[in-house]
Amino acid sequence: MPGLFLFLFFAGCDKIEPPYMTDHTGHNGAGEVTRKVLLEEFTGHQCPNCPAGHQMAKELKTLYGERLVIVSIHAGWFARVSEPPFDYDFTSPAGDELNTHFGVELYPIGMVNRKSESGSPLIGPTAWAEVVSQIIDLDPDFHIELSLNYLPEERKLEVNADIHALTASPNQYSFSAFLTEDGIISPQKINDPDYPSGVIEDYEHNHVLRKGINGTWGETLNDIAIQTGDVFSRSYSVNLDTDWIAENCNVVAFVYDSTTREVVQVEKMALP
Amino acid sequence: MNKAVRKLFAIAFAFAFFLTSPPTLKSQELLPGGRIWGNFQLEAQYYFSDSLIGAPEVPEKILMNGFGNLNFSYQGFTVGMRYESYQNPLLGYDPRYQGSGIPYRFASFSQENLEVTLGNFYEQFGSGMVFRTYEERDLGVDNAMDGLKLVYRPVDGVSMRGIIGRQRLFFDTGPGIVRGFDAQVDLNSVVPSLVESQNQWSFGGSAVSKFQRDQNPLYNLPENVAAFSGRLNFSRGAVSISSEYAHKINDPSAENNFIYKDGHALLLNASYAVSGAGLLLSAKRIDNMGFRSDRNATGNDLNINYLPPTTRQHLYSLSGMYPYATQPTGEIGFMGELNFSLPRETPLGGPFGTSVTINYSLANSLHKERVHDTIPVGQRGTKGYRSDFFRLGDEKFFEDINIEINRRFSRTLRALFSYAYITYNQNVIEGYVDKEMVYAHILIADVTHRLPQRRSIRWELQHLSTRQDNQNWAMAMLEYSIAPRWFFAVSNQYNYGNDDRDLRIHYYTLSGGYSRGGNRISLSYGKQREGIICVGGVCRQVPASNGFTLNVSSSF
Repeated sequence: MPGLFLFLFFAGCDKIEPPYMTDHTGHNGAGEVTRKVLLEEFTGHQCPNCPAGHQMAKELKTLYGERLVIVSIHAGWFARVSEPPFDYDFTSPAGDELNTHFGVELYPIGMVNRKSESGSPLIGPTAWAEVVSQIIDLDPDFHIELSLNYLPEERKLEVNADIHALTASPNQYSFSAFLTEDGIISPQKINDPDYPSGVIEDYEHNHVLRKGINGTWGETLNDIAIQTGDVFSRSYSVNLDTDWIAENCNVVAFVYDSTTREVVQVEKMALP
Repeated sequence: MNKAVRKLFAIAFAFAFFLTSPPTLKSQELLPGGRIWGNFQLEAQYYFSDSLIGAPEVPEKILMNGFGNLNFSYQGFTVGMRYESYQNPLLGYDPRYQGSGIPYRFASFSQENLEVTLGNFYEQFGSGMVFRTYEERDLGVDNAMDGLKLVYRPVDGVSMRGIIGRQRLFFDTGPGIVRGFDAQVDLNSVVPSLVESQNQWSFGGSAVSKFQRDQNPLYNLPENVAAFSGRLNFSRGAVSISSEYAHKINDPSAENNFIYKDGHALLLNASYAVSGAGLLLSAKRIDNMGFRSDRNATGNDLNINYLPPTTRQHLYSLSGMYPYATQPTGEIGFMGELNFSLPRETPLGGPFGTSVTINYSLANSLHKERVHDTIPVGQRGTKGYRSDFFRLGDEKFFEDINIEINRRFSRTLRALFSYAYITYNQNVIEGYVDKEMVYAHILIADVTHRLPQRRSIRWELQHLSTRQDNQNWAMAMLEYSIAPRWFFAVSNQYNYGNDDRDLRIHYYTLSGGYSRGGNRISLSYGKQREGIICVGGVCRQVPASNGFTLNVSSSF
């Protein structure tokens, strides 16, 4: 009997010594066609636990660089507009629709490529890293080439996308494009003893979903099986609201499986 | 009344008709010496959207949770299964339950001193602080193991148990493998010189380890995490003392914000009971002792262990409005309970006697210090914090002092009167940051009048007084029973003290039910306020709802 205890003690324990965190370098992947991963986080300015989610996303961004694309979806109860200082509206129709469609009830929570785990694509921030690491080194199925043209006088953005199929597939795919904005300074609730008031007044909100450029779900790419080398071209135009700062805006475009909704490639480009 | 409501009524009447017909086949007769048993339960709700109370729109209109257990045993051999169906899960239950299937099935046999279980099983080591799998349907909790269990009893008074498997996660299993071993020795059975002793001693120990692959690119994570516990129990006559200490090695997880600190837990219970009086004392210290088979799991998912509560579980609706949920990341708790009877035919005891229970409990934070001047307490990817074992933290989580008097006034009239004063930290227990501490006084009267021909009327009056949260509530309930078959009840909870006049809402309910043998059916209509229900310190958020509820249960 004591032998079994000792066996479980030695065989069943991995005592970890510092450093506990890995070296956050080396996964940039710029300049080559690689699979990029989309992390959509559901958040809200009145969600005190959400800054921890933002921090997790930031750490992953540091690790993976351009290969990880983040979209912050402000939706649900914690994104509500109320009395100052929470009177700024971060929500968007596309964000509200995604929030409802995926049945988000807890915040912060996110989707990595909308890949389903245990029947739901929604996973907590601490699980994002593992799922990203499982996907990100797979060979890419598509390459998305974006070109943007912004007309400041009209606040009009023209988006052109060439989607190159890198592998043949019988599946049907869809193409979506979102407009996001970085650097929005606005209050955020936080659950941290360093902020006894529970609010950071000058919080920097990044990756904020502003608009679905071609709607919430985009449009279908193919009706017949895809062959390697197929190219699909799509063009859209969208007007920026007056309080959106064009220099801080980006287009996030992605291809997803129309049946499973799993994202297979994503690209991000800042407005020129 | 629309089609769906009519359909719900039709189902209710069909079941009522079915239940009143006696069964014609006794299942035990299927195989001589064999035995079949099981049970069935269905809960269906028809929802109306009600924006005033915050009841959401339910696109399906009707939601249903149902299950049935079927077991068969024959000469030491037992097989069983549970079919579950969620079409779709009732509001407040995790949507990942959606669907149908057989998530629980097992076969077991026992021979000589060995008992073997293949498939799903529930098990508990000691008080559960390193291992407990169980099902609590009201909470939507089911962390059953799927694997193997062996129980071996080499001699009288000694038992050894070994388990290995994965835990249930809705209709799947979690990613981690759980292995464990437990031994329990009853010294008085084993040591011949102690057989006649009045001092009863027993001790035991457990070791549990989980394996989960490290695929996290940000952290160096332990793939094998073990927890150990030792326990010692003593009793002599009216006195009983039990103790258990548990230790867990570094287990960074979503629950503890990925800190690498070891976990500790200590539980002490002592009781003294004589005729007409009893005293119970409990103390508990929990420090970073959440233990799950998926380090990313949250909510009630994939708990390997169970941290027993040291607070009283209130059963009345208003005294249960602010229940305590055990805080696995750290708490120190105490509870004392004194109960005694005032003898009959005395001025205080009255003609039929009176029983009194006085209970006090406290749950407090641990004292936590930075591991380094530059590292905040609880910082991810660090040791997290340091904590003195016996030092209380500054934050009170929960406090409850209550008294309950149970008195029979005559052969036909008995009553229970209760008062509770509860201090409730909403921020800690419900996860807010900007809510006030709630201080609530609750008064309850529960009176039962027995009427001729096994009929009875029971009524409750409850009042909750607080200046915080939704402020004052009043509740009244009237129930008429025709034992043992029928009951009818009407109740109303009224949030009359709410600052917002629009939210001074009546949560009324009408209900009726019928029981016969092992069968029971009930139907109710009314509004359910948003709240939290807890069983054994484990809690679930219940959203507001408005509609009909049908319950059917049967056992055989």
